[in-house]
Amino acid sequence: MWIFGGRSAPGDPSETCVGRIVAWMIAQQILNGLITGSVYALFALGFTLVFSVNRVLNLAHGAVFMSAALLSYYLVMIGTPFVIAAAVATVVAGGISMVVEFVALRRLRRFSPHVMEFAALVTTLGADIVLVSLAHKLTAAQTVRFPFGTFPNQFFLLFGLRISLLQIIIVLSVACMLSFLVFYLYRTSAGLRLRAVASSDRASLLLGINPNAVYAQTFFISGIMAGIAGVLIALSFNSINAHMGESYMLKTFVIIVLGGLGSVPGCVLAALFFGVAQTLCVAYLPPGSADIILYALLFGMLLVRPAGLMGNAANISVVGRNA
Amino acid sequence: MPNRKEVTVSELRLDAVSKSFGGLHAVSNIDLVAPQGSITGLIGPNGAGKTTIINLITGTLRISSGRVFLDDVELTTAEPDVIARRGVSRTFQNIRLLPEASVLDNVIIGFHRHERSSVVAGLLGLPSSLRETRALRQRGMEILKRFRIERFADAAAGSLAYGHQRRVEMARAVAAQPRILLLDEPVAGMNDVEADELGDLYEELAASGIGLLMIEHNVRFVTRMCTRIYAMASGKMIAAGPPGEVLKDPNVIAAYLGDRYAKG
Repeated sequence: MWIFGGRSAPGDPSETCVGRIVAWMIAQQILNGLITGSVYALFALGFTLVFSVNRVLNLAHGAVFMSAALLSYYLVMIGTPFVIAAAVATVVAGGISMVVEFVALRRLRRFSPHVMEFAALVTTLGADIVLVSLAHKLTAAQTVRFPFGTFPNQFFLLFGLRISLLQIIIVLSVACMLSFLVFYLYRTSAGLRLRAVASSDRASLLLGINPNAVYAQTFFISGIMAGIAGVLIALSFNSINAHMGESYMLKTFVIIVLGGLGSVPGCVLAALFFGVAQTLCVAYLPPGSADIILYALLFGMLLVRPAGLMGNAANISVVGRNA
Repeated sequence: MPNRKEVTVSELRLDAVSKSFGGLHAVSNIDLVAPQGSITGLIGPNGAGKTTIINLITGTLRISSGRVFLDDVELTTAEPDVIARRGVSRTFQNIRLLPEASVLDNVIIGFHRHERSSVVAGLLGLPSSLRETRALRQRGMEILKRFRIERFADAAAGSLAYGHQRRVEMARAVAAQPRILLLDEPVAGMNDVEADELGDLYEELAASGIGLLMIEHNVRFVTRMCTRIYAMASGKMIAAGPPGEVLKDPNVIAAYLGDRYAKG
């Protein structure tokens, strides 16, 4: 499919002015980049949510993303309608994420924060390896694809730009999830408890809050976000394999550093920027140069603004603050 | 010393509580009773073990030996969140609020253990959950009015002056509807006028049936507020009784000022 950074031709050949065609092409690429970036935002937000509350880097996040993509594929292959397959895969991804929290992190919390942070890197990496190895076995190390016609291939015109039905679904899904996250964090009691635990788990305990329940909820929501991103990416590229989460993890590291570690608005802004920059680089620069430019941007940001676009060096806890 | 069989009112009780860190005895064989509806003081010089006692009651530290009861329910080995849900709230020597959240949100979090709606109902925005949220906000505002800080309801808690933050912390503790409230140096850093204003609130809380156990260095304040005082030194209980008696006790004077003053 062409929507994620591929070169596209103008839809209306009657346009003769070269300058306007170039402008149209750039606008089209920017639209594609914003849509790609919105999926990155979804993936990165789940990661940053866990970091904000748990103070750990969940290296199994990419494997949860991959698991949802793979499960949705197998469900479709046994005849499940795609929408149901996507919903089931997403919820299961949330469940897998909770299992990761329980198995890889729960028992580590009795240690000091420094020991836990390091140990968590090892245990979540271990969980990642287990999930990826299982997927590797399951797919016989092959890339699998949804059958033709799994999702209708329809296009529409939006202010003269082409947008596919899948892209519209992506934008709506991401908008819904972002609205849900903001509603959850700032308008529900559960969100208030989460912000309290993020601010101080010890003080929260003394208010009668069970931090383990909050950690489990956080991982579930994070897994749901990774799951939705996994299904959307799988459908967009129609390419699913055991290692598909790894490249997204790398992109997520760049995005959360660019946006400011722990900042929700910073994460979304950086993801959209990253998506557009990546799409434009792929469309207009020599092959292989996109990564060089994007990582150079990362180093530049670290030099100029180490806390990121919207980060606060003194307070990296996003969820403790109001939207 | 307290005897379980003589208990007739609701109370927090420590029976021979000790805590050791390796070979260091932080507190030894402490007996203490804090009845509901009255204010009990716990005094002692720095390093006496007062905050350790609060940490042991709230479950933050594990008790080495001895037992803690709230009425007839033993709390000795309970987890901190369970103890809090049983009705033991505390404030901190160093205030711990959600600094970026609003003052009202900081109070509403205190209602947590009394909420009925499930997480799912909250996420789905069900009418029952929305009704409860509205009711909690209303009750939160009532508590803020009681503590005379309702005008700060929408302000970030971290932006308030120290005295007001102290009131927010108190309001949050009261929102939890505790049976026993532990106050760790509640008027530290305040002048006499501010301390007296808070003192009036503490008396109101005690009159409403809450038991208060207060660690405080301000002798004037403790004398005014407490019906009974326990004095500690070097991890041991050295005196207990009405404020007038305890403050004249030679052991207490010696602990604060040295043996020379106690004898004089």
